[in-house]
Amino acid sequence: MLRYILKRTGGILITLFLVSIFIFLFIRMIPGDPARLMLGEKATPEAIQAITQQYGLDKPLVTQYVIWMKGVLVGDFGTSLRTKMPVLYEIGLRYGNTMKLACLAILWSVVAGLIIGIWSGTHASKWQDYTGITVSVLGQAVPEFWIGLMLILVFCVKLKWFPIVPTGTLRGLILPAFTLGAYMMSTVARFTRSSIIEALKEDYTRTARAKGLRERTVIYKHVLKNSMIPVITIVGMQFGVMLGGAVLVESVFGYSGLGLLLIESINYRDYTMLQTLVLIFSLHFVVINLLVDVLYAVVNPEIRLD
Amino acid sequence: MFKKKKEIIVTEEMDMNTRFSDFLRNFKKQKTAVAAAFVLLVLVVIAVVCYKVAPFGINEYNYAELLQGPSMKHWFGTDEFGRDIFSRVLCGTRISLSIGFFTVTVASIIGSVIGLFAGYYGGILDGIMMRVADVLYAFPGLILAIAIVAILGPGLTNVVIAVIIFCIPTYARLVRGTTMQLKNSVYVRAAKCIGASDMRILFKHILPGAIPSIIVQYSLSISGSIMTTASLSFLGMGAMAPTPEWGLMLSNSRTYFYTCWHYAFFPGMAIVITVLCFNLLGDGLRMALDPKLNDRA
Amino acid sequence: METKNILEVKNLCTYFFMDSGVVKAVDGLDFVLEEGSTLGIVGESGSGKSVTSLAIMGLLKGTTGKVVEGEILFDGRDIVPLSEEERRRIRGNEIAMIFQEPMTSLNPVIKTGEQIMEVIRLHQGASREEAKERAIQLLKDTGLPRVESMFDEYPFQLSGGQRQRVMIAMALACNPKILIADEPTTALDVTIQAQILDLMQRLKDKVGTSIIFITHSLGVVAEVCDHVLVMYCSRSVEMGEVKTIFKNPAHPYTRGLLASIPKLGEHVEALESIPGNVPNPKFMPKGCKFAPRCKEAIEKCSQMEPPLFDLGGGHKCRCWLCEKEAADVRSSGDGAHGDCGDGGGRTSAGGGVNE
Repeated sequence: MLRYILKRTGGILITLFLVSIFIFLFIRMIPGDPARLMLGEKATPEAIQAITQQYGLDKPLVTQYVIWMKGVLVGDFGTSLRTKMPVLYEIGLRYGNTMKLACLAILWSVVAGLIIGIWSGTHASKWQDYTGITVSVLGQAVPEFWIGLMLILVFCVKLKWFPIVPTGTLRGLILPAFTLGAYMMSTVARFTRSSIIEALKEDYTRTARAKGLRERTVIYKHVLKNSMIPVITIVGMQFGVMLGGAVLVESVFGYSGLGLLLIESINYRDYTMLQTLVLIFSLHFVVINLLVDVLYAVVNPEIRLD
Repeated sequence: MFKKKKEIIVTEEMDMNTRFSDFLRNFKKQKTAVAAAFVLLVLVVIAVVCYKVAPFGINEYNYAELLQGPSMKHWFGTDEFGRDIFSRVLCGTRISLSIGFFTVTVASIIGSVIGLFAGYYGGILDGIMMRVADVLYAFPGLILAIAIVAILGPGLTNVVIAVIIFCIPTYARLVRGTTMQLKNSVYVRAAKCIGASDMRILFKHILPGAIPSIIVQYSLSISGSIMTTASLSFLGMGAMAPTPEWGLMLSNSRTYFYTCWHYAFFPGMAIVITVLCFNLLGDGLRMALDPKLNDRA
Repeated sequence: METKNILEVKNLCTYFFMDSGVVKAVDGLDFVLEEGSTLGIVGESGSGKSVTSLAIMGLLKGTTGKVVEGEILFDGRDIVPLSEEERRRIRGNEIAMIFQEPMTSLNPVIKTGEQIMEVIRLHQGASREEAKERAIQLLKDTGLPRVESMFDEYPFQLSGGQRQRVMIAMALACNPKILIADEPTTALDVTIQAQILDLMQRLKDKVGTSIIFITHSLGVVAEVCDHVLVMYCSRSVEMGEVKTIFKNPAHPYTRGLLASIPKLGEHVEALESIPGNVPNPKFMPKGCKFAPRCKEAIEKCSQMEPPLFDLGGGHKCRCWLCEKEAADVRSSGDGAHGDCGDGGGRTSAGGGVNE
């Protein structure tokens, strides 16, 4: 198990290293003088000179990367071109908001997805199943930003149940979290359903029934434990979709998180911020996937004991 | 011995034909997928004829009828310039569908070729290609597309480039997997024995084996592509005014949202229906190609 | 010698209702299982032998299959009309089953010991400690080594033969009255096969259970069974005591099966095989279902399906060639059960069966 985790962590470090090179080169692929690009059209020659010196923009690319990476490793991601504050400080202000939103969204979508999926899978081809399928197929086709708008329209404008601009309170988070989790919920429901249907056909399920176990025990002890293994993987993969969705949802609800910060920094051509945000997003995605892999190993004895 | 191998090749290729008729028969059983295919056909027709049949011009300003609700004259109401939303939604079909088909076609061709070579030759080429794919996969979904557009600058052309880059790794991985499986199959080894060239083996013997999964992915990717395009436009990075793009229309509707629901509702429904149909079609294709998956959603 | 029948199956019809039509997997099957004896059910894949066992277990729920007619008398009581809850109490407790695929029949994510303890706790209301003690004893009885450590291992850590032993321990956990073994040795190596057969014999005597042994191998039947039932296309074609069937096989199909077993010390050029394939259930021949493959078929065979003729001594055969013999038996003995399709295998008529 330890070896497995170490192996996965090693792989992830390599990926992250490549990702950092990718992001680094990406910013430098923009035509024009990077210093001018970073400072904008109205920058004074002195400022440009300073930036050029700071980032070694006149040095070879490899040296530039090393300078940047040295900063990154000690937590110095540079200064936001828009607010002139350290990038990390700006991110710190919004980080908690996005985490709250994402955690709440994951929580409800995984719980609801599992319930719907189990319900559907254990009643295959009955009305419960068709209801579940309809919900999950619709959930995967409706864009986040549109559900968000429609929810605001119904619950904030017409019914006035929730504040239009989300506050940090749980009440204010309900609609954004619901919107953000809709897609994940559908995916979890679909996978749980098909995974349960597969497991129900397995020989070990027949054995469990042949033992005279109650149907409830057969499903919750024998079937569910097996069918959770693929579902865990899909939750990890969907987390990336969710991070992308967070950008849209925060934009729709005007919720001050990393997603909104990303949009703002694009609009202001705040490249230091953009580069850091993209790095942070992929870091999260990659780390979550590592955690999911570990969880996968915990559930699956064949990997755990290997 | 030799004769036996030839027989195998023949049966494998006959298998392709029977598989196609099996596929058609299985596909017809998927009622929802057939319905989705029908709706998509209608959408394609709309995309072709939209400018001719739309009751109003897409940029026909009418300051006497600003932000009006649905009526007999304006089925979906009007926007902040008095333009007919129905006509704009109709013409938006052409934009979304053509971007969807174009991006995914290009991405699937590039991705499949990469996958074929990487899977067949393996070695360093494979290592590099799959590392690049890994890196692209390390960017969560939409973030990659946003980053690309942020660098290239906003606009539909750049969105198209972003979506293509975004889709390539999926095909590369898919085709690579099948190629690695098929390159050790009996009929590929037999083809090698009779001296077929690598190119012939790749495109004549291995590629057909990967086609079914490519088709399924094609349909699913189009819905992803349409959704991404709309998302980027919604965020102000895609289509520019006055293009009648669905995501952009939704984005514009936000200002007037509290007073007129229809402005946001109808373009959104257009996205939902299109994406839904491509998803259902993809699911149906998958089930028809592999009936064992019948119970898989 | 009157023995008690622990199980009587009368006119069992199990159909599968598919989109493409009804498949009659078992169609009017009769047989009995005497207490303490072993009955072999032989047939090719698709002949309905596995479905029969699932019907007895009540495991058809969840499939498209259903018992549409007939009775399954367990200890004199018909269990077909029982509620799911009542069937469940019998399953694993009084009637247990071992499956063909030891590799996939154990749950991969539950520890081996727990999978055995589960049955004991369920049906006998034992505490964890009692169940564990009993489970370990059961595993030891199956001749498994290092039982204590195996108890906390997962099935993937065991070999195929070991898994099948675990399955046997699990099935015998509640001292069932009937054990149904569905090709328990097919997936195993030949040497392991023999060990498993030995084990089953030994435990059968110890627990005093009756066994239904489903197999496609007459060799295995000769080794472990007292009676045999040969099935072909959802129906029984011949049944009787193993000795009788092996000595005087009456049905051409049984003779074909016997001829395809290699015999020790006999030099043959090629083993005989039965020509052709099992017919597609959708296009069943009109008369005797075996007629198209039968070398001895007469005109009548393709027109009318033969009934199950009683050849005396519990030996029955569904073949027109036996018509005359059966008539002889009926006229000479008291012929109480001469009629076709009768469930009993207990005709008292001795009647020498001659070729």
